[in-house]
Amino acid sequence: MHSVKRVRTSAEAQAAKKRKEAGKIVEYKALVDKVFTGRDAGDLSLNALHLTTTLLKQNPEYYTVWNYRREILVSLFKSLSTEEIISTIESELEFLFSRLREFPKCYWIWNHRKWCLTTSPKPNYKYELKLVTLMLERDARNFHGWQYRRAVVASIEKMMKHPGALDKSEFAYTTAKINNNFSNFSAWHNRTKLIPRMLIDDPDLDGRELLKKEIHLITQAIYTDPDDQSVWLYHRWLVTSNDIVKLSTDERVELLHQEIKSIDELLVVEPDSKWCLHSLAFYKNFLATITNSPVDPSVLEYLDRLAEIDPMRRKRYQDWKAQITNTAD
Amino acid sequence: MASASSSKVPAASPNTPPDSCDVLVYGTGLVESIVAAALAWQGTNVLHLDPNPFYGGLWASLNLEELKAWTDKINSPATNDTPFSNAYLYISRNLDPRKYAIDISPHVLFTRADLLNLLIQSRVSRYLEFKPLGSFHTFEQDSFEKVPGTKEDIFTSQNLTLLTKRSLMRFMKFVVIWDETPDVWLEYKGKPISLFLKEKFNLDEPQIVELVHSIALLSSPSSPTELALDRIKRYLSSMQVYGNFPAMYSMYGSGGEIAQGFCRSAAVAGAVYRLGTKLSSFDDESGVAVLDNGEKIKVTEKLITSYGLLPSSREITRMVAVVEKDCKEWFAEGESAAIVVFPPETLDGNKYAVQALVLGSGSGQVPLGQAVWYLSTQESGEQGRKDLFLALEKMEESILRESTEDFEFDVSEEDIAYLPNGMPVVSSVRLGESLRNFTPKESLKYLLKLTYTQKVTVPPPQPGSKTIYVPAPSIDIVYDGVVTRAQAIYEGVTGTTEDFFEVDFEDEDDDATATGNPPDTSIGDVADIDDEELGDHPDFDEEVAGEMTI
Repeated sequence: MHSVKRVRTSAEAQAAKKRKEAGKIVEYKALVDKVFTGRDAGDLSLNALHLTTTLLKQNPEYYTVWNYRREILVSLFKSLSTEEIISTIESELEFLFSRLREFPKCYWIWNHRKWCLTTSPKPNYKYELKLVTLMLERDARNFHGWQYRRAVVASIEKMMKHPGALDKSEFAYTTAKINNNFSNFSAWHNRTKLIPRMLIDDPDLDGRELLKKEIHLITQAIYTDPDDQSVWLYHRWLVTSNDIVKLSTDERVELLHQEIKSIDELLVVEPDSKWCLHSLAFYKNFLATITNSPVDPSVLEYLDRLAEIDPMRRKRYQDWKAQITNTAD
Repeated sequence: MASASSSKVPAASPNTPPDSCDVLVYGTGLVESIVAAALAWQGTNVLHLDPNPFYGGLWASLNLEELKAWTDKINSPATNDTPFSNAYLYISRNLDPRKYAIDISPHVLFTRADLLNLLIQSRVSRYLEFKPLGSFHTFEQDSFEKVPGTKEDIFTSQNLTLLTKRSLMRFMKFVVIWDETPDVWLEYKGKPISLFLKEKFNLDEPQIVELVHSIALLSSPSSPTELALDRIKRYLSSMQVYGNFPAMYSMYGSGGEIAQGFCRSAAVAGAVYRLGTKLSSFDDESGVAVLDNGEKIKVTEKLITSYGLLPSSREITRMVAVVEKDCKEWFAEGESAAIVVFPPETLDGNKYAVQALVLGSGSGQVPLGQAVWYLSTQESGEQGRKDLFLALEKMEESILRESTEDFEFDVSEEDIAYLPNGMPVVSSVRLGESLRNFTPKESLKYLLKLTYTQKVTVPPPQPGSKTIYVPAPSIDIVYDGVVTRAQAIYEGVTGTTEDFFEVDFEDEDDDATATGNPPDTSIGDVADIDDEELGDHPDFDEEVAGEMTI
């Protein structure tokens, strides 16, 4: 989870903990040896599967063991009926849910879950959507969850043979998550994936109108918290990419002027805002590039100011400045 | 004691009280009960009496029978030991008196309050049940506006301009560290908060009103800056401690229920209890207390009493109304409580803010389909009653409009925002506009109405005396100051506060309290999700299932 402070334990407590753990480590090492002896011997039995269960409960990051587990399952499935395969995968999913609750950010659990669904003769994606909704309720910024959600939604739409069937509800879902806490790179990112798809799925959707609404939304977020990097990133996607509407150079220039003006107004009340200065420098630079004209001299001032208020990246701003001056020469 | 209560209270001892004790506590209000428990756990021999047949003293939650008896008593010219007077009570016929628990001094708790820490530390919290209170409304331009108390509220608000959003956020970031940054506010020390907010943060009138009256719960816009900043911080830092709400309340009644919890704790530590027992006299010299049945008790240390005629500086006015409406329109999702504030000059020239606490049946204080409204103001006399009746009228109009079902209004797509569960909500501005032009046909049924006045008492300094007076509950709707007062009294008895509830609770599992943090309920709840709950999730069932055939 984000912003949870690590609790430091005293040296004494650490020593006591170490003694306690020593026994566990011996047991764990023995278990690892046993699992790998089995794997080397080509053991694909049910017993070998149970051993991987025990080991993965302790260490879900051991991806080799997940691979081995899949080898065992594939081999077992050969001798099972379809019904039996379905029920085996169901208990597999149950096991994975308990692991996800404990380790919501472990790649290999999510990966194994995807494999289960694609392997199952009768995948229940409906259930998966509910599951990932709950996982994102627990932590709305878990990018594993968002990625999994996109995969699940795509599978559901594929099964329905109706591309875009969930576009509207997914868009509303992303909006709700953003309204709940907009400091969420993953939710904004989901929008950048979803919006272009919505425009393909629904030819009646007006891209220009949508772009206008999105810019209105992100401006609210920028003014609410200009220190949040995630909102600026989404803003940049809206202002510079052609993913929503293919703008002509004139239209793009107009949009850039409009947004530069809006950020300028914010800079008046927040003269020390790093992301304000940064975005102004970026957009004015971008404007010069697409219009083939010299960079506005104010950009150099922004970069000087940035080097002052953000000394950790001073050299970077200086380098940026040097690039602009060199091009001008 | 309220009959709706679920908490178990030590049965008042049927035995004769001991013929001597270290400390005699008279009155089972919140402050005295905290002191009694603290002293009992410290090893002091405590005898705790109350003249009433119920716990809670001036903080009690009463059923309707008890409430009738209580109003008769405070109205009686013979009663001279209570700060309450001038009660007018109406109770509709055919109500089951035992289904109600009416607070005579209603209070709520911010999640960062010292009382909550004490409840956890003393383990009294396990005798009680708390519910969230996340809805704070301000009465503005004839409608109730939800107070933007979080970053998310500000972001999604459709009635704040971009620059106001920025100013508000700047202020909110400052106020959580206001005490560490005196350079920002020191020149405004003692000056009105409204001036500070306007000059230093460019805030406009509506935001100033919301911050001062609804978030800080202050009565007057000229409250001193440092007090208001502290109060605003109290609200903001209480958000997200247990969830998306800054305050909580105890079920089945407020201060009286919590007082009972402390009495129970005191009894576990050996204090002796007797209700319905009057103290006829106390001789400060000899320490001899005489009870109404003639028994004599020798008090070796102190008498702590919340009864008796104390000097008072002014009067405040209170009102209670039980209505036949669940009032869910005012509550946040899944909650059963709200605070509504009428700032000064919004009720035909009211000088002070009127605060209203609304509790639905989820509070355990009223039956299903009803709600209880507690209104109060610092105004006294006829003006105080007039202000409260005007506020009541506004609340009545508002709840009738908002709960009407056959009401249609025009909204476009931009007016709709989405809650985290995907439920659409309509912008309150647009809704307010439509609602103002609407006259409901229905009328509101009042099942109970009660108005009364309360003196704000100041205990006199009693150097060298054996008697310590406990002041009446303050007008504040929040329990602030209760723990400090209890500690001061404790110090008056023992000479120190160092061992105040320094209790090593034996045979208890320490894990929950070892870190000093209350357990995080919101995470715990989600961790317990099971398949059954998965099946109920509205996001899927309502929005997706209908369109899908797999």
